[in-house]
Amino acid sequence: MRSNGDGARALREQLGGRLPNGLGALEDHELADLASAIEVARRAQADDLERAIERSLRKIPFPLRGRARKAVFG
Amino acid sequence: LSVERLEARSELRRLARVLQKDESRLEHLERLDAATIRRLRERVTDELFDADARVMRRVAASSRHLPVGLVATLAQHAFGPLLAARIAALIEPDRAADIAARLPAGFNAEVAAELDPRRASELIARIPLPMTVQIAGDLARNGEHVAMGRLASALSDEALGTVLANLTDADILKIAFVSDDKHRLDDLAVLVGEDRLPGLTQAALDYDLWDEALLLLHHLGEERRAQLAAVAAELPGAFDALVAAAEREGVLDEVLPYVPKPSRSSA
Repeated sequence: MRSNGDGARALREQLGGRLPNGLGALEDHELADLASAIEVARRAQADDLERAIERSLRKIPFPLRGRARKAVFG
Repeated sequence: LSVERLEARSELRRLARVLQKDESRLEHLERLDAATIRRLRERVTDELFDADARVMRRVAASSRHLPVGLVATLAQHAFGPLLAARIAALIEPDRAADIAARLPAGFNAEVAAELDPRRASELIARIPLPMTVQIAGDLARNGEHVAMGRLASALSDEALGTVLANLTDADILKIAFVSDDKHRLDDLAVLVGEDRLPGLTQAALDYDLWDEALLLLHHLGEERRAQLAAVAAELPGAFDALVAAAEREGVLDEVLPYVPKPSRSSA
């Protein structure tokens, strides 16, 4: 594993700045695949959560919805 | 003896669940040792479950002002399982358990599958046993054995025994394979009872669950290993399949001590 390859860099980015020990057996393109899998999972989760929050806000009476949205998203 | 590949495969199955990916797409990671895959899974778990934490905390805080019944209705009809699971992990466990008690087991099972594994045990331990049994049944039907492995570690021996009594033999093998605390598997085998050993062995044979059976065998104590091997020797085809799987995985030494000796009459 090249710790400064594009794949390693992408994975480091997905994992908050540092790689766990022991990934030396992986090629850089495999690290890139892993980084991509994490990013896809993160996006899917964020989309699901956003849709769920929007669905929930729609259940709140319209006059209060703005305040509720602000309470959640700031 | 080396069960490293089996342990790595167990960890891969758990990582695949966190990433919502088919396990076969991660097969190349089998080159890593189990401890590395576990560290990777833990880091990915941290990243995914801590993402959106600020918004999730605000949603959870907002829900605190609402009556339990209303939150339960919202959870089922608006939040959906993922958001409900995130909120459940951020509110007081007693309140989360009160909300769960007002929801159908099927929905709770979907929530249980999405719970933050780092916080799930506090909540699961508060769910009444009859509902836990129902949730476990639904999780098994949904193929959520990884979530069940986490759930199992939060249960007392008594509760776990009741849950397992209501699951199929194949489910038990699959749960044991991804169990959080494999040191408990020998006790689990006692809970399951000797009379289910033929069923467990048959399930390994019928559904090709030899990875699961071999890892279970590895974590059993001497007495239970001998019992399981004796049962396999009695089932047509089972012992040969067990030995073949052990050879393929390089763990033949785990099984060889239990190969039945030829009987005197056939000698």
